[in-house]
Amino acid sequence: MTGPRRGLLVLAVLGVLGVGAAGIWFVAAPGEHASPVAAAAPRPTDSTWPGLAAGPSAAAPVTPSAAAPAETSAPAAGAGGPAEPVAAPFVQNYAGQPGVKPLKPLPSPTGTHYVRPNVDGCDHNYGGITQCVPWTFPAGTTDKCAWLAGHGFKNLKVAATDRQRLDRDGNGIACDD
Amino acid sequence: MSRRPLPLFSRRDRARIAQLIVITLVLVLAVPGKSFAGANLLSNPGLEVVDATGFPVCWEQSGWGDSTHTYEVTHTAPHSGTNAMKVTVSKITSGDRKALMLENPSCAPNVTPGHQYDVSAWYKTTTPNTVMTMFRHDVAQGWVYWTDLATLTTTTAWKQKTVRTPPVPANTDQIVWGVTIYGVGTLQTDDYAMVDATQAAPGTSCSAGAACTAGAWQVMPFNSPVRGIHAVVLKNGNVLLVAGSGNDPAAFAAGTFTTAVYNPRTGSFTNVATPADLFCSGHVQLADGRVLIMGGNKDYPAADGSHGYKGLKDSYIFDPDTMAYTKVNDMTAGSWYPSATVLGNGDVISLGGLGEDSGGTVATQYFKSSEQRWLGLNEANQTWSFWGLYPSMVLMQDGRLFYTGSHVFGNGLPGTGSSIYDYQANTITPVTGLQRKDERDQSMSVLLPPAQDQRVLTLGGGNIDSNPDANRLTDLIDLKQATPVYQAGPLLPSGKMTGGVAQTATQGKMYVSAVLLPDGKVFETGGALHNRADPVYEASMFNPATNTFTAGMATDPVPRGYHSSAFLLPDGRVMSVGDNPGDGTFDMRISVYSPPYLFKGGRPQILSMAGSQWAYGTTKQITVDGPILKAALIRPEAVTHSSDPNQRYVDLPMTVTGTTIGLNLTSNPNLAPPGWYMLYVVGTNGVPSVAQWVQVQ
Repeated sequence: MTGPRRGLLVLAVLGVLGVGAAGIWFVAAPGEHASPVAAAAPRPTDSTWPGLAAGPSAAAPVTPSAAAPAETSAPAAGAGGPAEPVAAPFVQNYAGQPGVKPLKPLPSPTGTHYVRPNVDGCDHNYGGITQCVPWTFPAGTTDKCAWLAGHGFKNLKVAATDRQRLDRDGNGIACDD
Repeated sequence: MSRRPLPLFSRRDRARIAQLIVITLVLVLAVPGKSFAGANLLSNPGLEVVDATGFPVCWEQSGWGDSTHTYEVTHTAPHSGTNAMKVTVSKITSGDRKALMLENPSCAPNVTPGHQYDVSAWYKTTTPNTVMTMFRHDVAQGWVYWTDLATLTTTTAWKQKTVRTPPVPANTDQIVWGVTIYGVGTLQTDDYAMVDATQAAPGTSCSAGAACTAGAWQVMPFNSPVRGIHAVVLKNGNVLLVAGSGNDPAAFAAGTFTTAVYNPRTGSFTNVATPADLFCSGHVQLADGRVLIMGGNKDYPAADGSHGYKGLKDSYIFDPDTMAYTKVNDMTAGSWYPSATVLGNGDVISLGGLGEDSGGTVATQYFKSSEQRWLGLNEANQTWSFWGLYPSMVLMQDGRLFYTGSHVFGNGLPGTGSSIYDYQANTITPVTGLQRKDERDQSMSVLLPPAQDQRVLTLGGGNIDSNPDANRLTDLIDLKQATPVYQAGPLLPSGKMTGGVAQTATQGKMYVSAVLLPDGKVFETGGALHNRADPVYEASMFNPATNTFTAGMATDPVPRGYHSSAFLLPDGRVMSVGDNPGDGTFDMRISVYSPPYLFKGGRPQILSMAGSQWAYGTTKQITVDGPILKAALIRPEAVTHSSDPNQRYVDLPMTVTGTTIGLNLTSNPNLAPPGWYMLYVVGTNGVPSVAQWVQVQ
């Protein structure tokens, strides 16, 4: 390939690149060239926070003083003319569970359905009722008192029995020895 | 004699290359266009969309003092498009005038404290008495003046002025700005822009740095006045926070029960007289937007284990209009941690909970909407089954209830841990496939967007009795199948424990919150590893279209374990409250999350709506200010203990005629039970509108 020819090739390649880059720029910067949205629509009203501004949700009664709702009128069914027939709910036939047997019906109860008093997983033998010494400490807890101290428990009274043997000195306060 | 080797490029080649590079650069750089790579965060920046009066939407006439002035939307030689704003002051003794962005959630651009923004406008002015003026929305103080940025020099040809704001002050969530004129003269403006100047995110038009992909949290500068253990988003955009005694036996003993209504726009709270200990109650919005509250706490457990928690039979309705509770008839049984699901006919079914004697409540309790009362025991169909505490009962499209297996406290129910309950037929049929059903205590289940797809996702969970590490399990079920079976879903992404310690490969979380977003994704946040201990800092985005989690969302800086909740606000952000660790303390901080979509551009505007009462099976017209990707109704949350079985996202297929869009509402009330919903549209840039409220009936 001779010098001038190669020169032309280089020119051509760079030219294509340059025009391409400029083209990409034009395409990538549409903001200034976008055609206007030709919508002469009512001004947006802020119905989301009725305390702040009036809006179309005139039914939200916190703003009884709401300005005229900015709504386009839709033909109201039944207003004057014959009422349009209303669609019945379209329900699909899903999840029939063919072959799955329902659980056996239970008889009407004669007594209380028992639920353990410590339903919340807390050992209420310790501290106030709002506190929650775990009934079961997380696996790997070797020192329950250290765990409790590390989780913000202080001055833990023994409220009933020392079920987890946390009151080693028997003074009625857990984990203080 | 050998030929001199040719250089790769001759001198002439090099000169031509240089010329070409220069020409290309000039072409690229001199083309008039956006000065920034980032997305323009403004709505209607070119003033091209106007309202019925001909004034640009999302803009207002603003100013003060004594002057003679006119505002005109001029079509004469605008900078681009067909409109420019022309403000003429012919006489002035005091004050100023400006066209200002509307100070409302929909029009004012969202901002992030600490971020800086490049704001710009094209202008012509005959007076140098001009300045770019900024206002900010303080989460506690409302709209306040912020700062003035730059004076514009006189020019008869269009010029662009760009100036970078100082870092946005703390506690700011939105700003507005405009060009002020305060001397005699004429100021024309057009093609405003506002771009986050933090850092461009590769491959996107977002320039808000990490927030582009992770979103961002803000902790409010004020605390909640009540322990918001029960949170209900009301039909007017306020949030009902119910504490009752708030897990505080001293308040219980004193009979001090509390409720507050929070206004997220003003950061203000209104205390509401609370007639009973509504701590541990169930709650759901009725068809008219009032909130039915059922049961509550009759007593705390005895230290010696002689009795456990006891449930109230009381039931109340909270009315957002009167801001007061009124009593309805008693339930048939005490209800401490009862479920509450609204049906397609507007009635409510409540299952499970503890009775007045701390035993399990086995009654099916049925609130008949038309009579505004709880039916008697023998008026409702009874299976006499104990459903546990806060069982997650999701309404299916045929009116049956899917028990997802998500529950509160200890093991799941005996059997497979999941079932379909048919109230009409009075049958319960098992559903298989739920993994480790006895470790789904305080997991969370959601009906995935859209509700039409009838798929449920159950996330995480633990067990407060056996107290294992909470797990990373997720389970998915498709209720469209003939025999739906739970399938294992992707593992929850791993998070960090206190001190930044990474979780092990098997550690997940209970007390998790899952929030349906306007873009059809599910934001999953908060949680802890053990019974009221060891918060987990992790948040991710679940995409129902791909069944995958995107890990690495920004994490709430506040621990969100037991008695925490997160829920969607009408403006598309997520609010998070509560944390009640085992030492008995309660975190009163409120945090608010802005998802990544809020950093990608201005909000689409819903300009008009064909009424706010929508009937099933109808098409409702709205007009918008630009192209819309999708539209949906989201039922506002009523959540406690990771349980809100009524949360749903109902797709609204669109009939598109330019910017007039018909939204097609399903004919099936089981897909969208009657009540107030938040209508969102999502723009082609993925940014959702602020919600408009719609009553489905």
